[in-house]
Amino acid sequence: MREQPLLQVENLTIDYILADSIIKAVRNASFAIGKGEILCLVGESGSGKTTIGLAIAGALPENAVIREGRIIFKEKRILGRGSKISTGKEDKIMMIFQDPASALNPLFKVGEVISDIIKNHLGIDNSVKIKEKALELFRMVELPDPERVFDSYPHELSGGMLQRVVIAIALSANPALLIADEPTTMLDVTLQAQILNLLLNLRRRLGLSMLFITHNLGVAAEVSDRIIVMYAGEIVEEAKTRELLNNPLHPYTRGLIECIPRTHIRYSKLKSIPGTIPDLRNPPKWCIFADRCTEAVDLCYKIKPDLIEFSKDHRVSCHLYRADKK
Amino acid sequence: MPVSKEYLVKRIILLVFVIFGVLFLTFIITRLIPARPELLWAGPHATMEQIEKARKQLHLDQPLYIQFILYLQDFLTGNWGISWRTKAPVLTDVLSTLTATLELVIIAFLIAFITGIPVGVLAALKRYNWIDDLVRIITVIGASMPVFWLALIAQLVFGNWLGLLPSAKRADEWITIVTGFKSITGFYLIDSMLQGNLPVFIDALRRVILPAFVLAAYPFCLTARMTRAVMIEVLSEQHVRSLIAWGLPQRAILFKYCLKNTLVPVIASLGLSFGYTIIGAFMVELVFVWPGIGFYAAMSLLSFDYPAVIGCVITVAIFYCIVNTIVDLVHSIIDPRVRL
Repeated sequence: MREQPLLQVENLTIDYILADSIIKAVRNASFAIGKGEILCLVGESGSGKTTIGLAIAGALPENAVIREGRIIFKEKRILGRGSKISTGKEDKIMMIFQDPASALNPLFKVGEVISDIIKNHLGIDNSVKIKEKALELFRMVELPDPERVFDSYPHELSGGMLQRVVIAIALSANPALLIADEPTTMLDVTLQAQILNLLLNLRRRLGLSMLFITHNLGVAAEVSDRIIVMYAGEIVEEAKTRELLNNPLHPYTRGLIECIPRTHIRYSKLKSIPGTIPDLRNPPKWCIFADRCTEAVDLCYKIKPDLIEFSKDHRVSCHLYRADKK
Repeated sequence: MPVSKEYLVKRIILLVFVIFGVLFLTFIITRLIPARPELLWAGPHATMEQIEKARKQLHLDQPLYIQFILYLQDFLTGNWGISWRTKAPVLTDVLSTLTATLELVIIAFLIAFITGIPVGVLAALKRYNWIDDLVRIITVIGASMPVFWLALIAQLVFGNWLGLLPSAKRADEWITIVTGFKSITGFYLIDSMLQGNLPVFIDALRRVILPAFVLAAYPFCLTARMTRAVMIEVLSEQHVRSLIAWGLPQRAILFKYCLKNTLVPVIASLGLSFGYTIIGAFMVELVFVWPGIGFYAAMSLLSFDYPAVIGCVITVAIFYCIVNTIVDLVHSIIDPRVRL
């Protein structure tokens, strides 16, 4: 029997209720993350990847409704807003965010925030011990001058330092799973590599599993073990990173790979996928990508393709790979 | 985290300049714009002698810049002229009435602050629920209700019909005389407490309740509505989402983190309204015969008591500046980004 995965998401369907409409942000997403694995969710803005991350972290906004599905973490069922399990020191899911500057309350010293999180998760009450722990975490994320950082307000720190602080806060609960929502998107290119390396280092040292959310397939290729490609709230393809890059099946994945700018080919035109994502208030009943697909046939406009197992560990949702055509 | 010394010094220097500006403006308005300020100063039924005396008092025989310097000197030495209505020095009048108003206004704002913030938070949390609707209806009605009308109704219901509370004056003269009460600071509640004079304390407290609650109506509505609006905005911010994702209990997120974000604009707006309530309280003071500065200013205006009116204007303007400086300092304590 296969080892039970750390996190299992089954049939997750999430809507956002707006004043005059309902946005079907995520539909029937199922996937799993193994222990120590880095899984990347890749997709354009609005593909529902952040929503999935927030759902797992238990921090969906108030107007989000989970219509269907289960999230199973360490064989325990967790779901819904704020319903995070809090038993045991190892059973934590923590999250880091795209914009570290707005992820921290501007009126509180970062030391105070991390102290509260440490107190809450580790149950330490002694303020000296809490500070020691915080400084240790700051050193772990390679922050220079941790004492000064502890006594700083967010506006006194740079973006890269803030992201390290946020990572330190996330690590303070000894999490088993770290959800990283585009953690490098808002940073300078040189910092991006630093933060990515830091995350990879931490994974090695702490045996952390990670759900890495990004719109950048290049970043995903560098960090991940496995990649899930999402489009307009649905999973369209899932495979091991190397397999996905070498043998992309879904036309959308192929388009994404072609869109990665290549520095060694000069004078080539920057590629893009024509069209925009469909209206999620009323998503099509047929293939979600058909409108932008260059290989769409009549069937694509009639029936929604299932997510089928194309080969071992490689799933795709496209009529081109139906069993009877293979 | 205390205010930094430099910021404090900077603000105080700024305050001095602003007050100088206030004095300059009042000088222009009272001495330059009227054709013959001495006529106004001496009052409507003044004799030629009195007018001549007023001319001397206002240094109108001097060149303009000397007039201004002497005006500043008079202001600083407390020579604010004599109110010909009360026959007392304006400064004495203003100070004694100001403390009466301050006692009333401070209590009113404490009531507004202590009740308004929880109500606003509650409405924000129960958004689109009947509690929120109720709060919104009450605060709209409360904020738009004329304060003198509210004062009359309160007086009628609680003072007259139910007979629960006295509805006029600061203290019963009989009790103050019998107990030998002397006000030192001008704040009856504080003085009577310090002197251990329980009868006066209870009497003063009973008398302050009605006007204070009536006066608190508007700032209460302002605080509640403002807290609700800001809280809703704060709750949708990223840093709140991150605290939820990091598993902090909702209680801590709300009352430690969000409340502090909410306090910044609420305190700023309350500070502003505190400034103008000092004189705006005169409606309440008139109804409750409260010997405050609003009452004094209104009476002085009605009887063309020019020195007294100017004294009130200057006092309120300076007070307004001081309150706003304090608000800024409090703001800088709460929000470190302000400390530049």
